[in-house]
Amino acid sequence: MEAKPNLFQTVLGAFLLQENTYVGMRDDAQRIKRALVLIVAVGLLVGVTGACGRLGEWAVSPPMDKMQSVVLSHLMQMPWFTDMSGSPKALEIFKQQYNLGWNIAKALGPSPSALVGIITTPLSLLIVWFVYGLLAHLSARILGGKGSAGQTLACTALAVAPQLLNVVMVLPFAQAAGVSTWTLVCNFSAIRSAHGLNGWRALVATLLPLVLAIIVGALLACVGGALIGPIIGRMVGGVR
Amino acid sequence: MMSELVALARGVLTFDDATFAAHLASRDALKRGLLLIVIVALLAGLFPFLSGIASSFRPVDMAAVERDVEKQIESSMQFNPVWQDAEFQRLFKEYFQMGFGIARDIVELGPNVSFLPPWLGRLMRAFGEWFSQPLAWLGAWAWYALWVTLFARLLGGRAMLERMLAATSLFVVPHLLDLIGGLLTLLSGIQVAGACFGLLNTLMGFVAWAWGIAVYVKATAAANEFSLGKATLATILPVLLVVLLAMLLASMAVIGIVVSAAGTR
Repeated sequence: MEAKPNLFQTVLGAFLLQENTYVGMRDDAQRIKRALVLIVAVGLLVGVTGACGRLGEWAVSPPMDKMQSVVLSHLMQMPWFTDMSGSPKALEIFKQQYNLGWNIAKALGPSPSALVGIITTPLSLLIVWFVYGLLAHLSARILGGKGSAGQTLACTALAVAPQLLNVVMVLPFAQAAGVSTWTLVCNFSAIRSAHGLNGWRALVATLLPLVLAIIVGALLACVGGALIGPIIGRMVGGVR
Repeated sequence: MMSELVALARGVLTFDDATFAAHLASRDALKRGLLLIVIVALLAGLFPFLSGIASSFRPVDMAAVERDVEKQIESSMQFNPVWQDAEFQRLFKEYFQMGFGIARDIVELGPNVSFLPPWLGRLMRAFGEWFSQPLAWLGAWAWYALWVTLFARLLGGRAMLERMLAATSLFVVPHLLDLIGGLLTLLSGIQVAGACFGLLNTLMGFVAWAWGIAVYVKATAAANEFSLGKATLATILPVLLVVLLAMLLASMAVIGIVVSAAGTR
């Protein structure tokens, strides 16, 4: 009997789109347990390295609060600022928007709160895997797939392998590209292996959940816009 | 392993049929292709990276940066009719200097962890950018290969995605010339002689790009076992599609503007 590949071999095989890795996962009696271990291990590794990189970036970057006051002090010397200062309401709106912009920048910029990523990265990978896996299973079954939900989930868990490209972000200021594209390719291999579908059907089954996610996202954005729009309108109107 | 890669590179550069066939028949073709992309991308960025390391230890000369940026803007704007207006130029320079004043003060701010030397951030940035380059190449190559695979299948190709990825990864080999390109970029900073190096760099960049496309077409043909004509079509169709879509969107926007303008009259 052939020995089961270890975690590293599994991740590498999945990343390199090796058929035997996907088939091995599909046919494993403990596939869901292996899938969970794989996702959590990769998620923790990516979370820890990402947090280290972001902390490094924060450590060597100038403080955002000081940057905010430096920029403001220069803006205040500009001619348009003197003109605007004549209107207290305009000055108030400017201050609100200026602070809002900097608060967004601070939230997106590197900070010690990046350590939260150690927990949120594996959690988000688990959620995305579970939701995508179930939707992909439904799509594949509609298209004539023969795999079980467990087999689909086990195989799509292997699509977490490209996340390891994010490990490069242990270096501050490094950026990982191509993760989404390679994840798509791995998901395609996973669905094809789990369900024994031909290339075209496997492609449709891979893309359907993403198309659905885009439609749902667009709908939510529309509903959100319809709900938040009047509130913002009232706020702006109130300031005037 | 290294001698294997060198032999593969030599065969690819000379469009040797046997090399392409042997690469595709190999069990670890994709692994080798990915390795090639990583190595070539790192080599292409080597000289800019070394230059980045060297300059990270020097304090930032904001006055020199300001002069360079101003010179670049002036040379790029010299044919712009708006730039000929004296009032616009005066306003632009005034706000440009104010903007640089902000940058100058920010550069002088110390890091969050105050005991760290100011050069450490610049050094880390040089490393980060260098190691990001292979991933940027990988992402762009994989995304394009997906589309070429799709069109190749529509044109009667037989290659599966894994085979196409393994084959098209060979496009990266001619980009070994980018290593020399990186060196020439540094040399182009030299006064007088720099212009010649700059010209040579542009020429080498073009050669690497064209050679890379030729390898891509050859690899697509080898993987799909079809003619070079079909392979060329499959390779350029994604770009053509993007151009057509952009033109369609642009014409729709123009029609929309014209119709709305006519409606308001």
